[in-house]
Amino acid sequence: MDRELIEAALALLEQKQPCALATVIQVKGSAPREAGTKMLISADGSITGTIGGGCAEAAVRQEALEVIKRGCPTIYHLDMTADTAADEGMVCGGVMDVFIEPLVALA
Amino acid sequence: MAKAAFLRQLLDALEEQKQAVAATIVKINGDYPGVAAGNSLLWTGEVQHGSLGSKELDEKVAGLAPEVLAKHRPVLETLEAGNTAVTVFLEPVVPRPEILILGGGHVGQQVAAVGKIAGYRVTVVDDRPDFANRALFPTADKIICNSFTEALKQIKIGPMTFITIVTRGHRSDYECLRAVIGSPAAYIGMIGSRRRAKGVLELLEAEGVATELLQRVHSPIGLDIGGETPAEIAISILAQIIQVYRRGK
Repeated sequence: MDRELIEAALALLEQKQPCALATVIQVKGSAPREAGTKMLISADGSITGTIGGGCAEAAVRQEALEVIKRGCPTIYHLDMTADTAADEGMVCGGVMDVFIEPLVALA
Repeated sequence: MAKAAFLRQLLDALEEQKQAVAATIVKINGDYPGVAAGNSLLWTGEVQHGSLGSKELDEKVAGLAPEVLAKHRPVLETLEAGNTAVTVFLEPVVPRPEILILGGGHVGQQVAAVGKIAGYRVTVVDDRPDFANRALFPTADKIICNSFTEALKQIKIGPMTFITIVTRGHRSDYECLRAVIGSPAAYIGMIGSRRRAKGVLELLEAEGVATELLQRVHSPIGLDIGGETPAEIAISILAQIIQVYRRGK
């Protein structure tokens, strides 16, 4: 577990800066990162940590921004096996579930 | 601010390399008062910090936690609270592996760079201000300018610490190895020709350091890929560290 990421999350939480924490909770097939991998997303779109980069990460980041607005957690299902994934250049070919929780929601 | 308290406990556990399991509700089917997605607790064996919102769930987590720790792998479990199915993500709290570089010379600088790329925390120690500085180690997490023996008294070495001894000479190598040989470090590697390393090891053996401890030392350091330049040697050192980290040997 990444100490810096947890420190960063705590700092944002204490300063009441809108942000969300994404955690890979399940992986099937070949995915870029293992379960437990985390990424912190701020309301301005900046990220700390990585859940693998590329389109998958961009999609999670986008969803996280929605979570920050809505203020309730969600499980985001990423399918990288579909033909579209190949079209988008996602070569891992696995399925990944990412839990995204708002630490501080937008008021 | 239950989440802030949870994150603080999590940081403490990481800092002190405590054995812990973090559990977070990720989904609930139905309604159960007090139980909501995002609720977290930290289990440390003796103590449980926070709560998932129901005593019943907390007890189930405590029942599952030892196995999660033993297997070093997160799991997703569906638990029952009343008639409600609650999905909980349980993960072992393991600190990120750290490379402790003793010696800020050419090889040390490259080990710091490559180690950072591979995702390790990097700490560098050298007693010379001209070497222990930000200009030479732009990406290191921590740079300590102090005598090796003094610095090593302050640094916490745990089962996730990987030590590379790459100082400027066998005198410092000896001091460093002497200070860390009894530590619980995951890995100890020492640079130097077979002859130079042998001299250091024999010296420690003569002082009464157990042979089993000395046999743990990787020297010559790094996997044998014929590296010659500092960067090539650093890559062979990282390859060896990754092998120990991922395969335990």
